Amino acid sequence: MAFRSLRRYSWGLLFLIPEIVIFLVFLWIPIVKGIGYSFYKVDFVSGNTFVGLRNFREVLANPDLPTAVKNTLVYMFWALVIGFWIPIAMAVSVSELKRFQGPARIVGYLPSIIPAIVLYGMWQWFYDPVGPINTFLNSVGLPEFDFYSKGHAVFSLIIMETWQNFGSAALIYVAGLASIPKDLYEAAELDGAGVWARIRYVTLPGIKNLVLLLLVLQLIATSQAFQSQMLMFGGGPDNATLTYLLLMTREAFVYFDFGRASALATLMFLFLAAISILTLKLRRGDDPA
Amino acid sequence: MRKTFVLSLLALMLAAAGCGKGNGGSDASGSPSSAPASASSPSKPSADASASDSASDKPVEITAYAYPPDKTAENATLNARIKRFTEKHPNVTIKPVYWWYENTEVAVKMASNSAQTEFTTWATEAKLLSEKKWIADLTGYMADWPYANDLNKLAMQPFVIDGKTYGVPIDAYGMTITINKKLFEQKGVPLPPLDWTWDDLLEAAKAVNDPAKGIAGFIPMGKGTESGWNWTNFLYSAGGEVQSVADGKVTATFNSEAGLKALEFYKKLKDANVIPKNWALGYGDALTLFNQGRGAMVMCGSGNALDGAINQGKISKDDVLLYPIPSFAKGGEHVGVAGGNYKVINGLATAEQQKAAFDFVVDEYFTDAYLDSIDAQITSQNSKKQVYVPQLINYWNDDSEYGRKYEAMLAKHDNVYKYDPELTKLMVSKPEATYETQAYYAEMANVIQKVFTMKGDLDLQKLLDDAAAKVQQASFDKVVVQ
Repeated sequence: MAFRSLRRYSWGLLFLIPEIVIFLVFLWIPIVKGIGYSFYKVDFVSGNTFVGLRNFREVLANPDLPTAVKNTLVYMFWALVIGFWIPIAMAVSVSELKRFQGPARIVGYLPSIIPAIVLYGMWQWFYDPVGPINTFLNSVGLPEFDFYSKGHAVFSLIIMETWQNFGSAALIYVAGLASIPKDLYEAAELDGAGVWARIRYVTLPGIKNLVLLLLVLQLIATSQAFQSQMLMFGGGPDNATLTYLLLMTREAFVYFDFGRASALATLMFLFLAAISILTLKLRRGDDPA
Repeated sequence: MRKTFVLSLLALMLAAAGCGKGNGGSDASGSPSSAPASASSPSKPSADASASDSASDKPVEITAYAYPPDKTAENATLNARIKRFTEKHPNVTIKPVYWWYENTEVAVKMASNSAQTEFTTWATEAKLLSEKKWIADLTGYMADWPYANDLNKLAMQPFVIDGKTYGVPIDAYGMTITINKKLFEQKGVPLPPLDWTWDDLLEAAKAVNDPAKGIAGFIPMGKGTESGWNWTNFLYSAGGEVQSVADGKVTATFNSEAGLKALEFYKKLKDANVIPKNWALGYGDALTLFNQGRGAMVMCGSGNALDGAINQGKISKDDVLLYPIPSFAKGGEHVGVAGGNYKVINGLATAEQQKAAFDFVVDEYFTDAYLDSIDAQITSQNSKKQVYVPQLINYWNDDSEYGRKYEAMLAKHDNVYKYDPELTKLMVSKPEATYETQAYYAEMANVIQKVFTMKGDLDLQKLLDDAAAKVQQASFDKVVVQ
């Protein structure tokens, strides 16, 4: 029976092998090894020493951990508030355009192709005291805005990242919108629905599942944020942009304590796995029987 | 069933991680390996390493520390040196590989055993690299090398640990302040005296400062560990220490009166509005700002800012000057953090590779061939309208015969930066702290950022005390003094 099933799906399984190998080498084995390392004092030359739960005790006693967790949650929240709706608005606006949909999509996607190193250099200039934004503010008689202050740094990062990333999310929404049957719009128009009514009763319900999926993906992505925090602000000022992952990076690459870094990664893994399982359960409960 | 599966998975994870050790490491219980060095395992770093038969004709392959591809003159010099060496040692094959040492990357390079057989590192890294056995003990090789005693003792200092030598100096430096003379001239500000003080620096910064044009009087680094490294110069200059070591215990001492003076000085710089409003400047950011003419003064290792400003920033070599770290008070010492570049041998390489790499590294030390290669490099840089910036302290003693030959060679060229002879007389270079220096720097970065970004009065002593207590508990208390 099993052999017949295997024969039946043999071609499919064959095509799966490259993906399985890639996932195994670059994802599953590192995850398993990472969890294992969290119980060891890692030494690449002399060998690892089993230390039980010591790494976990040390990371949980680290006074920077609550700061990093709080900063990460704050970043996740404001990234949702400021950035999550923009790709939806962009996709809906583009789909409502009668002409120039193609160029509008290209323009929206352009920021996503800018390499990170150029992006940070560019935004450092935008945020500079004599950069274009502050020059404009000064020219209209407004005071200079300090993008680098403790209170503003996290928002400066969110604005920069929203600008860079909204294009790719918008493209996914545009693809989702294209799959909504046209006759629904025609029926709505026949019933006298205007633009807002069409968006409210046809478009948004049509991409509801996509919105939920991208919400989870954004939460996962922002919970793992560290690149721009490290390169733009180094986690500062005064740890204001120190995220959980940046703390982990510091443990590994500043203090060279890969055991403690792995312990932090394991805790993160468990937290994200719990969120994913919860989301899955909620979505299953939501599905019609 | 499910429980058994989970337990099995956990056991698998632990076993997998335990097996994930470096070449020739110990078993999962942590006991040291007794396996001898072999072609695929690292040699035991030991003083008797020189006893291995490096002069044999057994083929050996090593990798050498190459320059970035755009440094064509330097790479050509290296290739010529490899050719000369391999002609003398036909059994050795040397492949130049580009990876420039970064303290944030070295762990990954070691874990993957992909660092070059010989590579260049900084004075700051000696303790870390030797402690982790990522670099080989060269004591035995040095004993057999006839020129070992001719090396500059001051330059050697950071890589001699507990009587063992782990690195060969290339050059060394003390921290200095690089000044953009042109910005001073443009604002009609007289240059401060070379024997300057903290007050002179502050006054000069105020005078040359032009925030409307985005020009800062002084650029301190405020992002990353380099911010703590920068600040330590003022700590040293005020007579302070990072830590004290007594009875096998390391104690934080940077929250001393000297530390407070140094932090008060940073607060004065902030309050006078003479530093960039963008405090988030790492090493590269600060030097880039200086190269762009957006800062009149920047603090870094002697020569490094000069090289970037002249060869990348295209500032004339006559418009940049080097000053010592200012003294706290008139007549005081100009103490700055010492640093330098060192050649080290990969601790994961085989004994044969380590010996070949050491022979390659020192092959042209104290020879005319080395001087000729520098001579050729300067000539090549001249053809590209570039300036050669020599280091202040070299691996040889300046008053030796070799030192005089070097000076004579430099004197032939117009495109060589010339230091003020008074500068070296004033400079006092002091090594960095020995234990957990990066942890201290990282914690000081937070303190400095508070000073640079928070408004109003700050209890600076409390900031230092809190930082000292945190570093003490998190790092210094865990140090085992050998």
